[in-house]
Parts: sequence; C-alpha cells; structure tokens
Amino acid sequence: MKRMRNLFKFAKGYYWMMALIIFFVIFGRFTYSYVPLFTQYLIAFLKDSTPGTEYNVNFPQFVLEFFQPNDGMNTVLKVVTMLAVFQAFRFFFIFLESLLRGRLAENIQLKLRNDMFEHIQSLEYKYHNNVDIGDLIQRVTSDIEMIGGFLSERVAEVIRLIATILFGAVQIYFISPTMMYVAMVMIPVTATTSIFFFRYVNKAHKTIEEKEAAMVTIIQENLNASKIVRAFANESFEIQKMENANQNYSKELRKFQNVQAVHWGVSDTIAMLQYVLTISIAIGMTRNGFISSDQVVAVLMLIGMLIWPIRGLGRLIGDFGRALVSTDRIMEVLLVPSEFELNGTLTPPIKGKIEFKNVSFKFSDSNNHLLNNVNFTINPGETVVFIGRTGSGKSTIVNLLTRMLEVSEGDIYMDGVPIKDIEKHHLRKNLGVVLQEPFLYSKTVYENIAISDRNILQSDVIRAAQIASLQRDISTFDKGYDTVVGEKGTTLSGGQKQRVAIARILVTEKPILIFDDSLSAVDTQTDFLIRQALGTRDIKSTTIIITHRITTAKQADKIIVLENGQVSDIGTHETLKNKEGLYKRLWDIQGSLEEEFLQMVEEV
Amino acid sequence: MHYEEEYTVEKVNLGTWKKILKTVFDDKKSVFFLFFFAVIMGFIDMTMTLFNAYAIDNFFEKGNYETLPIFITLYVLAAFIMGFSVWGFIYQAGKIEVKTNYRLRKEAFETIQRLPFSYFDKTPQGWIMARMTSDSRRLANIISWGVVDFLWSFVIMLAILIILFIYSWKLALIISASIPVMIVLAYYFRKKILAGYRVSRKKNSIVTAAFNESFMGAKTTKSLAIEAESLREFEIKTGDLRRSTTKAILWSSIFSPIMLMISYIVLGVVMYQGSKTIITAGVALLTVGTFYIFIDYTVRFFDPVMQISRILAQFQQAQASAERIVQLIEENPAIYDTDEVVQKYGDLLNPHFENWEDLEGSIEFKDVTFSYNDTEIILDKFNLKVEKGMSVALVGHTGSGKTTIVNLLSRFYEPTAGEILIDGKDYRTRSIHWLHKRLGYVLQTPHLFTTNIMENIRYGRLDATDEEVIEAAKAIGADAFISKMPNGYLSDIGEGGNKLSIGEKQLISFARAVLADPKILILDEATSSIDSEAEQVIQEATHKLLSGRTSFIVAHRLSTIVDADLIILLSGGKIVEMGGHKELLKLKGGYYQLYKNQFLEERSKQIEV
Repeated sequence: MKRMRNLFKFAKGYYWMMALIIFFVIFGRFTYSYVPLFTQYLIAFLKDSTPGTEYNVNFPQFVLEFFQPNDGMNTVLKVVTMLAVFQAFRFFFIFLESLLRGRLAENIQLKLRNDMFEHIQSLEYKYHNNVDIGDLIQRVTSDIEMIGGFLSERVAEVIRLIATILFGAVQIYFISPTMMYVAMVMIPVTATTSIFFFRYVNKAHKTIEEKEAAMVTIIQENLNASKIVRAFANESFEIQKMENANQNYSKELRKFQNVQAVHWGVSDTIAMLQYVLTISIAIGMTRNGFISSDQVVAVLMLIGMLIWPIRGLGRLIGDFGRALVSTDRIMEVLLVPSEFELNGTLTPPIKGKIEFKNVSFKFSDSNNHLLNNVNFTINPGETVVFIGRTGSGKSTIVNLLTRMLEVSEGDIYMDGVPIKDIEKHHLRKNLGVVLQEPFLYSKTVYENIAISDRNILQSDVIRAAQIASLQRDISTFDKGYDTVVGEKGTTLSGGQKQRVAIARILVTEKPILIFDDSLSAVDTQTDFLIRQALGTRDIKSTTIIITHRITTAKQADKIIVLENGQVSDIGTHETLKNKEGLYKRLWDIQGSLEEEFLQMVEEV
Repeated sequence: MHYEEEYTVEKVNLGTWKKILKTVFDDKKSVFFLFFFAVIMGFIDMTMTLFNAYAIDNFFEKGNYETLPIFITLYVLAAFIMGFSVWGFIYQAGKIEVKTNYRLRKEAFETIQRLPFSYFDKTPQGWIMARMTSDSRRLANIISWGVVDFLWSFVIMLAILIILFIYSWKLALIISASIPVMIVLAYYFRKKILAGYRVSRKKNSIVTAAFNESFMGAKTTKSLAIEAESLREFEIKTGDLRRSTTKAILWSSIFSPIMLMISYIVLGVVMYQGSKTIITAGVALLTVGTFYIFIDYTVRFFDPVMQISRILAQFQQAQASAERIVQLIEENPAIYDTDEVVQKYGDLLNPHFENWEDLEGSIEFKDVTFSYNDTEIILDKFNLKVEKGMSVALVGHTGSGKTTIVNLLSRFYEPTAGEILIDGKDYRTRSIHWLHKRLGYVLQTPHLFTTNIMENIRYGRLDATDEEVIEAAKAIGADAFISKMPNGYLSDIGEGGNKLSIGEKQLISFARAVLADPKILILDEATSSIDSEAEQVIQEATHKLLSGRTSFIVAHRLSTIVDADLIILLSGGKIVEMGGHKELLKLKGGYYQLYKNQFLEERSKQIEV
C-alpha cells in the first residue's frame, strides 16, 4: 500500500491532470456505447418507417424527439448528421485526452529527472565512490520512463478497461438483460488466459534477454579482441562460438513466439465463439419474440466492447508490478540523505590560513584510523608539500579540508573559523582542488577551463592556460580552444587532462590551491614550469601540493611528512634533509640515483 | 566516415532490399505458409460479417430456421479455422523473423572475421554493435511482421471491396474513393510522427548522456561547487526533451481522431446512400443484413488502410537500417589473399594445410613505405634485415612508427610500397592465415575472454590438452598464482578478466603465446606500471617467452630493451640509432637520453612504493 502511495506521489502537482484524463476516458467510453445505437435506430426506422412509430432504442428522450417525426430521407439525414456531429465531438475529446496523457507523462518525467539529478548531485562523496553508475543510469532512464508511462497511460487504460466493459454491458442490458449475461460468459476465460500468458511473457523475456546478453558479450569480446583473434588465427573458432550463441538466442525467441502464436490463436477462437454463442442465443430469443433484428445488430456491435479489452488485462497487471519495482528503485535513491543536510551557515572571506587541531578520521564502518591526531598550521601564501607513502593519509587530508569527508575527532580551522560552521559551497568555491584523476566535462576546452565562472574574460582563460602550460597543446588541436574533449570528442592524454584541470582552478582567484598528486602525469620539466608560473600570479594563494617527487618538495616553504596517518615531521628541505627520518631516506635515494646511472654508463 | 546515425534515406535502394528479401525468402516453405495463412485469415475474418448478416436476414427477419444447425456448425468451424490460421500466421511470421535476424547476424559476424585489423582502427565498435543488434532486430521485425501485416491488410481490403462491389457497386465506389485520400493523409502523418519521435529520442539520449556525465564527474562538480550551474544546464536539456516529446505527441494525438473522423464521414455517406436505396426500392434490393454488411465493412475497412500507411512509413524508416547492415555484410576486406594464394593455401574456413610450408623466421623489410591515409607518410623506404631467432627492441616516442612496423609485420596492414620478406619470400605470396597461424602477438593491454583461465590460455592453440595448457603456464611462471585461485585453472576471471591484476593478465596472455609456440613473436609491451614484485615475475616471463624465437618488441621496460639482440631507435619513421645496448649507450645520443630518463623514472617509482 505504501509502495502504491509512493508511486502515485510522483504525480503530485498534476493530480488535476490525472483527474481530467480519467474523466475524459470515462466520458469517451460512455459516449462510445451509444455509437451502435445510431445504426440500430436507422435499421429499425428502415424496417418500419410509418409515421408515428416509436423505436425501442436506448437514446435519451431529447434525441428520440429530435429524430421524430418519421419523415423518410429527412430522418435518415438527421440520424446520419447527428452521428457525424456526435463523433466529431467525441473525437475532439479523444484528442484532448491523448494530448493530456502525453503532457502528464512528460511533466512527471521532467520533474523526476530534475529531482533525481539534483538529489544525486547532492549525495556525499562516499556514495559516489561506491555507486554502480550503470545501475544508476538504469534508474534515471528506464525506471523513470516506467513510472511516467504507468501513471499516464496504464492508469488511464485500467479505467478504460473497466469503463468499456461496464458501459458495454449496461447498453446491452437495456436491449436485453439475458443478452448481457450471455455476452459476458467468456470474460473470465479470456481474463484468466491473459493473466497467465503475460506472466509467461515476463518470464520468457528474462530468459531471452539473458541469451541475447550472452550473444552480445561474444560479439563485443570478438571486436575488442580483433587483434588477438587475427594474430592467433582463431577466426573459425570465433564463428563457431557466435553460431552457438546465435542459435541459443534464436531458439529461445522461437520458443516464446510459438507460445505467443498458440495464445493468440486460442484467444481469437474464444472471441469468435463468443459471437457464435451470442447470436445463437439471440436466435432462440427471437423465436419467442424477445429480440428484434435491429437489436441484434446493436448487440453484435456492442459485444466487441466486452471481448477485446479484457485481453490486455494480464499486461496491465504485469505493468503495475513493474511500476512498483521502479518506484522502489527510485525511492531508494531519493531516501539517501543529501550531504548538505549537514552544513554550516557562515560565509567569511577566506585568506588562506589552515589549521588542523587533533584531527582524526576513520570511516564509520571501519576501525582503521586513516588519520590519527594530526596537527599542523599552514599560513596564508605558503607553499606546503605533503610527502608520504601510499596510504599514509595524504588524500584524506584534502578530502577533510574540502569536507568531502567529515572529521571523526578534532577540528579544522580556516582563518580561525571551524570549517564545520562554514557553508560548504562557499568553502569549496574558495578551494581550488586538482584531483589525481581529473574529470573533464564533454564540452570544449574553453568551456572546461571557464567552468566555474561562465562569464569570465577570454584573456583570463588564456592566461590560465598559459600558467598550466597548456597553450602549446591547445595549438596542436584541430579546433584549438573549441575542441570538444571527452568521449565524443578528442581524447586528451593524462597529462593534458591534468593541465586543463589545473587551468580551470586558476581562472578565478582562489585563496587556496590544492594539487592532489596531480602533477604526476606531467613530466618533471612541465611540473617545474607550472609551479614557477604559479608564482607569477597577482594573487599569492596558499598552495598545498601532494606529491611523490622529492624535487618538488625541495622548493616548498614547508614540508609535512606523513606516516601511517600521523605527522612524523614538519620542516623545510634544509632542516629535514639531515634529520633521520623518511624524508632524509627518500632524499638520499633520489640523489644516489643519478650517480648510480652515471656509474652504470661508465661500466659499459 | 560512418559515425553519424542517419535515419532517413529518401531514395529507395533496390539493391539493398534485394539482398534483404533474398535473406527473407531463403526459407520458401515458411513464406508460402505465411501467405497461405494470411489469405485464410483474411477470408475468415470477412465471412464473420457475412455469417452475421445471413443470420439477420434468415433467422431474425424471415424467421426461417431450417438452416440453423448447419449455420451454427459452420460458424463454430469458422471460429476454429480462424484460431488455427491466427496460430499458423504468427508461428510462420515469428519463424521468418527469427531466421532473418539470425542470418543477418551470422553473415555480418563472418564478414567481420574476414576484415583486417585496420577496419577496427577506423570503425567505432559501437557502430558495429548497433548494426548487429538493434539494426538487425529492427529490420527482421519490420520485414516479417511488416510484410505479414501488409499482406493481411491488402487481402482484407481487396476482399471487402470485391464483396461490396457484388452487393452494390455504388456504395463500393464511395468507399474506394476515400482510399487514396486516407493513405496519403495517413502516410503524411506517420512521417511527421516518426520524425517527431526521432527528435525526441535524440534529446532523450542527450539527457541520458548528461546524467552519465554528472555521475562520473560528481566529485569534480562538488569540488568546484558548481552544482547549481550544472543543474541549470540539465534543466534546459530536460525542458528541451519535454518540448520535443510533447510536440511529437501533438501530432500523434491529432492523427487518429482525424482518420476516424474521415472514416465516419464515409460511413455516414454509406448509411445515407444505403438508406436511400432501401426507402426508394424497398428491402428487396437491400436487405437489413446487407445494410449491416455495409456498415460493418466500412468501419473495418479503415483498419487495413491505416495499417498499410504505417507499414509504408516503417519501411521507409527501416531503409536506413537495411542499408547499414547490408553495407557491413558486403564490406570488402582491404587486405586479402590473391586468387592464386587462395588456391594453394585455402581460405579462412577451408585451409589447405597440406600445402603450407614451415616458417623459419628470418624477416626482411625492403624499401617499405607506408601511410594510413596517403597524405601522411609514416614509414619511408624502411629497410631492416633480421636473422632467424633474433630479438629486436623498437624504441622511440609515440608516433615514431614502432607500432606501424609490427602492424605491417603481422599483416594487419600491408606496405603501400616495397615488400616484406619472410624466409626470403614476399609474405603476400602466402596466405594471411598461414602467417597468423605461425605468429604470436602479445598485446600491451592483454585481452582476456569472459571465461575461465584454462580456456583463455587455450586460445593460443585450440587443440591443446589441459596438460599442455598447464605446462605452458608453468613455463611462464603463471602456475603459482593460478594454483592459488579457488578453482585453479577453472576459475572464472570475470568480465574481460577484471578479477585479475594487470600483471596476472599479462602472464596469462604470455602463457597463451607460449602455448601457440610461434616462430615469430610480437610483444607490445605495457607502459602501465605494476608493483615491483610482479615486475620481477613479468621480466623473467618475458625472457622465457622470447628465447628461441624471432621477436619484435615495442619496448618500454629497460630490462627487455637491454636484453634484446638489436635495439632500434626510431624517430619519424626512420631509424636513428641501431645496435646493441652498450654500443648505443656509448654514442651518448638519443638512446642515451631515453635510457637515462627511463632509468630515473623506473627507479624512483621503485623507491616510492
């Protein structure tokens, strides 16, 4: 019940549309049941058109009066014209109904899409780290479509099904109650076969999809391995592999189609038998004078209302089940709390002083402390290098500072203000972070650089590209700054991506820059050039560099050495290079390398 | 070339449809039965109305019940024949659909196997996938059910017209007059609707792509704090989608009411005319039953008309699918064996092994010139002679021509000018298959199949026994980690081998090559770093792999380079330096620099870990 409430809640704001659609559907079916009566009236009239005769046709009084008096072709003209006008009126409402259904589906989907986009965007870092993107895409595409389609189309269909049978039955009832019961004999039979058949359809589709997926995998792997296939001359083996999968898939499809053929064959037989039965009973009744030929014509035309719609019942039930599953899948995402539920309110100007006071961090589902009682201070304008082995906690520091993660203990201060009190967007706007594996949007190079401020001056973009030593690369692209990057455009090398990511944080003046091992994909030379160019900027940002290059550390104002989640040393190159510890060991090894090489060359 | 998906091709291409229809009509028996059942079905469908009309005239009007038992018997019989022919009809159509689909995929796949590697360099995988899945499916569907529906509609239309003409040519004429109007109008609407939905589908895929991008870049969006802007951009896209879809819906919403209205106007005229006949001439000329027939047929007449318009529009839409898939099936390989070669060595599916010479392993590049696209020359008069059993390391920057050389040697491409001699003979005088059977290729990023380890190694030589596979793994030093896996050699390695580390994947692909035991080996070394322990294992494995074979290595690892018999430094498709390791170091030229950089990089990485 709760699931159903959730499903219908997606139409919130558009209930009036739903109500209007339902009204139109009922109205359309109600009026439809009167259409055969025109034929019935005409036949009755043609059989006996003596003036003054009244016909036993279930039209409202005013219509019957309008058709009177019986006056040859004039009456015929009246009936025919009235039918045309009546239908035109009906078709106009059908048009409105169909239009409204489309609008409703689109409105529901638009709202769901936007809500989902906004919500997923606001989910915390950890969620995005663990989420299966393929599955998420499935939810925001097919599940949303399923829900939109169900609320607009299927709900209307259910109403239509009920209304059709109801009004069809009522109309037949007015002709003859017995006829109505006769006409309904096959309904339970058809309903049952329909339900069973569509249950089978659902099951069969799953198997078919599995077989198809298996085949698609084989094609895909064959294409991926096209070189290997050729190099080992295994083409005929591949053809055989595909042959098997192709046949398996085809066999499964055939099995399904054979069942389908039987189902439609049987249900068409049933439908026709319903006609036979009805007409036979009617013949019996007319012998006793209970029913006339014009009434039989009307019944024959109305009986379709009871036979055909019920065949779709099974599908409707199946769709309802699927819509509920989709609802669950959407709700599951919407119920994950947004990271901004935990947010500060302050928006102080940020100059760039950073303090870590007794900061510890561990994931809530683990006992392993990634950071343990970390303390340090970084002053505005300083360049600080974090150095340490993989897993020593370097990246965790960045994630805590940007509040992608929340400290477990201790506090982080920004210019003396605890960052937990600062509004997250404000904080992040002031931090320029370049991640280790940067993500570029599938836009042009220019738009990627100008991403955080679309109204920025062109000169600023070019200047940022220069500092990131990207100018030369851009000039080799066929469309320069207008080259589209990413999947559908030019593929950039790892180093180029990193430099675009660097340029995009340099376009606006950020008081704090953070390079999370992001200079590793560019060579030592470029690394140096970029750092040098950073110094020429008007604004002196606090710069945090996480690196494994000891030469980078050498030039920093401050070096913070991390070991096993703890700060083991803080100092400068001068103070650390002679002090026993990790830094000295790294430095010594680095220095000896060049020597080792020269020695080796000598030896040969 | 064929990246863009065009849906509409206005011109009807007869060659394409001939090919497709040939595939469909391959199963003549099914096609015959399909026609047969379609005619029966249409016929029975028609007689239903006649049955009812007979009943009206004889039983209800005249009260003549003599024929009642036979009437009911026949009617029931008709019901069963109807059911039977519906079954047969769907059964046959389904059979043809599945078969067509199957055949198209099979032929496309076989063509793909014949195409040289260069085809995949310039054709995106997605393009091929789409041809083999959605296009073939759509085509088979439209062909079988489209033809069927067309046929059935046509039979019904024709039958209705004939029967009506027999009863009253005047009324029949009225109905006939409306056919062209209806078809033209319906066709016009269908096209509009299809075009509308095409736009909406395109917008839909833009929205999906935006979702994808937002999920992939979630962390970046957060760190840049641009959620609001990206939401605004997204809302523009979803708004666009809604607008285009509602527009398409508008067209389809108008369509059916308009068509219905026309049919009811025609019905009105028929009713009027029919009534007039009855009133002026009496029931003798037009019985109530006949009147019923006319009304019923008029209403039902328009369903096939609508069907035909739908099928025509669909066929037009399918044309693009058809062309694309025929194009794939009929794609000619750019690299192929001459007829004489095929005669002697056989082709891919029927190799004449008895005529195959052994391969010794000496290789010579003689004035080899190569360009991918005529404008940019990659190799220019390249000369190189390699003795049997020698290992050659190719070094140089990206784009220096290393990969081109091994691609040419593997005959994935052929020289634009000059020739490549294997054992002293131009390799084009032997079959591609011959070369590939004797050549081993170990890829930079090893490709593994989604199956177990045993089968993946066996891919090197399909008729190898389990013991031979295990032996190859042992020889390369892969046995150690394989035995530790839960199911040993039968362990599944996940999609594309994603349950294994890069180093483990490489070992498996090495074992594969060892099993194949090729005379010539090409090793495209990985640039990606692996941990030093694995590095050690790989290094030893490489050594074992290369020994005793003529080998070409696109080299990145120092140890591999140093071990090679001959090192070739390439730049711009030309040999800059060539010789042994020590020799080249002494030159203190390009190789020296390259080696130094590589050395420092590799060593400092080892320290980092």
